[in-house]
Amino acid sequence: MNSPHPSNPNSGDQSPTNTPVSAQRNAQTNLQSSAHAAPEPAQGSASDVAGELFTHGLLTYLHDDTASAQSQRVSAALRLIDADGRDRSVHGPSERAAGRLVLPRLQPYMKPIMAMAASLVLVGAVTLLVVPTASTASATVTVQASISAMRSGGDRRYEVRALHDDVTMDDAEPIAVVDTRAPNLLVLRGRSPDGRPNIAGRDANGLWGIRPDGVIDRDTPRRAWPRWSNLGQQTLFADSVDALLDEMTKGYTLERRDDQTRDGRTQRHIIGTKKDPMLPGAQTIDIWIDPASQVVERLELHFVPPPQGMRQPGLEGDDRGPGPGGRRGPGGGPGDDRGERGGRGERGEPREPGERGDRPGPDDRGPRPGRRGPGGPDRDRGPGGPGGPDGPEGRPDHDRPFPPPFPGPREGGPRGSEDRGGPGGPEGRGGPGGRGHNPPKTIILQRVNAPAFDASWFSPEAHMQGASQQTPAAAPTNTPAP
Amino acid sequence: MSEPSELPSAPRQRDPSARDLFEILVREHADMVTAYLRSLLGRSSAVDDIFQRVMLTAWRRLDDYDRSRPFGPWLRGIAHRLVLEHYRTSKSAPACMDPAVIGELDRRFERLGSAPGDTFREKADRLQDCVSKLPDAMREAIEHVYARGMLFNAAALALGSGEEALKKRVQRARALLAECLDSSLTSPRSALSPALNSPDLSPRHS
Repeated sequence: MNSPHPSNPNSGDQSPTNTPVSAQRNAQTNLQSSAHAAPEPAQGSASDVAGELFTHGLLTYLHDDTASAQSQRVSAALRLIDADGRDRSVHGPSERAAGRLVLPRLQPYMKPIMAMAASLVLVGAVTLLVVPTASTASATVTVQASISAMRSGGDRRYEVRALHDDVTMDDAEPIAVVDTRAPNLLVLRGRSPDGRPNIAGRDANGLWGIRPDGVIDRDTPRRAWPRWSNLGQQTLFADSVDALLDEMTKGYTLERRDDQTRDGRTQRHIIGTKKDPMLPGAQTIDIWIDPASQVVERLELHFVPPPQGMRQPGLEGDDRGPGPGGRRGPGGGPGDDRGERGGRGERGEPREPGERGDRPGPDDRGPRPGRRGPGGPDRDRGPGGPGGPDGPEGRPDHDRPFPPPFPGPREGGPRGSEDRGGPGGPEGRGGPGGRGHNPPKTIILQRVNAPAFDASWFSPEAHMQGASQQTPAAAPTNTPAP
Repeated sequence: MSEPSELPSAPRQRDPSARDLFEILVREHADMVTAYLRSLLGRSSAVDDIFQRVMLTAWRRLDDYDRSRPFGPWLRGIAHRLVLEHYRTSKSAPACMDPAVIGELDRRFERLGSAPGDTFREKADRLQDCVSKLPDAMREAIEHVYARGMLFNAAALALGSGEEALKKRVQRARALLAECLDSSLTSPRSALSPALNSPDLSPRHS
């Protein structure tokens, strides 16, 4: 049977389909080795081979590609197309477009490029257009895979650091520890400049915060979130990790860079550049993803401070919630229980009662945290405590408007250094060595070993003063990363 | 909207962008493209990446798409070329390159696409009917390997079979399923392929 090959417009009539296809054996063998249950080298006609491939494909599709997975795949493809940035609006019919989808003519600069591309077409072959966004496609796919992985569950812990101009990663103490359990459970433990704990989270009942007076706040929980987590109209950690990454894929142009080896492991490196630089939030984001687990190992948010005196739009008043549209910033690390993986130690364990404050804080230092990610840029130092619900003068935030959110200048000026040992905050409240730090340029989330969290760990009651100091299950020993 | 030729050529009252129209086409053909890629790549993790590239390439080459021809085969053509490129860049053995096989595969997909049913998944589900009518040993083999996702060696162990015997059984089952599906596409969904009624197909492999 000779028939045009519709999938190859450049080909003519096809050879008969009943010829032996032993030439397929090598291909099929390799399919077997790389693709589960792929058809064995086939003996028979092209029709037989095609029939087997056909059923193999359908069976795999029916069992592996659920409607949900397909929906995600399509959404990712559409985002890629949107990010491609080409506006192909439909115009009226033209001679060229008769009988076709009507599209505008190519931009003039594309014509010589197209001519050049056409000249490279080999006889009997069709070349594909250069797809400069192959890295974008790959980046999007990688991030989507990470989103899926994070939704699949797992306990993870991240340490948060804020870097200023004169602080290196090595000097920066964590300003908070974030524990997560997919899909949307989270506990953030930081410390305000005056040493009081900053605890907020999300459990099955939604967001919560613990006020300075010890009351659980579910009505205005975002007041309890540290100010550094308020990124303009976005809030770090305010939602499930996968939703945060999902938002990132929409608001940022993703690009995959060369894989990097850190601590003996190869990690995928994705860079996101904010599509609209005028919107608040990190200008660029670096993500490092473990290719084996698809989990984010490290996240760096890089900010461009606004000009002196300028505030971020839409950030007046005390609305700490998400901005219009409920946009949520990228951030929040997924995590995985990596008890077997080491680094330089487990950090962020709940502190013992009687130490500074009765609540767990991230400055219960043991060995330095296990850092599976890069050493981080040599930059800024951690400032003083995170903005907590107390506000700069210790009064509850709900009694006064919030200071300018990160990364704008702090209302009332920066605080002096209070607690060199405490976790810092990114609002220039002073930190080790001084006062008047500008807002940090970078916020880093670094995954560290996570203990096995108790089921109630993500509820506020577990962190109340006077509650039994429920600690996660015994942290793994400080084992270096394999 | 099931055929690209039905797309209006003149602007409508609401002038939809090409992007919106393309989205409709993507959603309509996504499952088919995925299944096609599975035919050539199986469970390879490259399916995701190549799927994205297929759609992006189709978007960028939309000017070249001849609306008088169906959209599905055009997408499959792009998909096949990208699969070839994938094998070239990954320095692994080439995928199925025989034009005759690809042509035949394309014909089967086209035929499935023309079958009664609202969605590709609904049409592909006909294959499940065929699976249910396989001889027991073959059906179990298919279920272990595909539904449970077991590797051949593990499935063979579970079924008390030798690995090579299991592979042959699966191969034979796939061939029967292809015949069954081909028959069912021209008849009501409950049609049973005569091949599956053959007494010669009683399980005998151990």
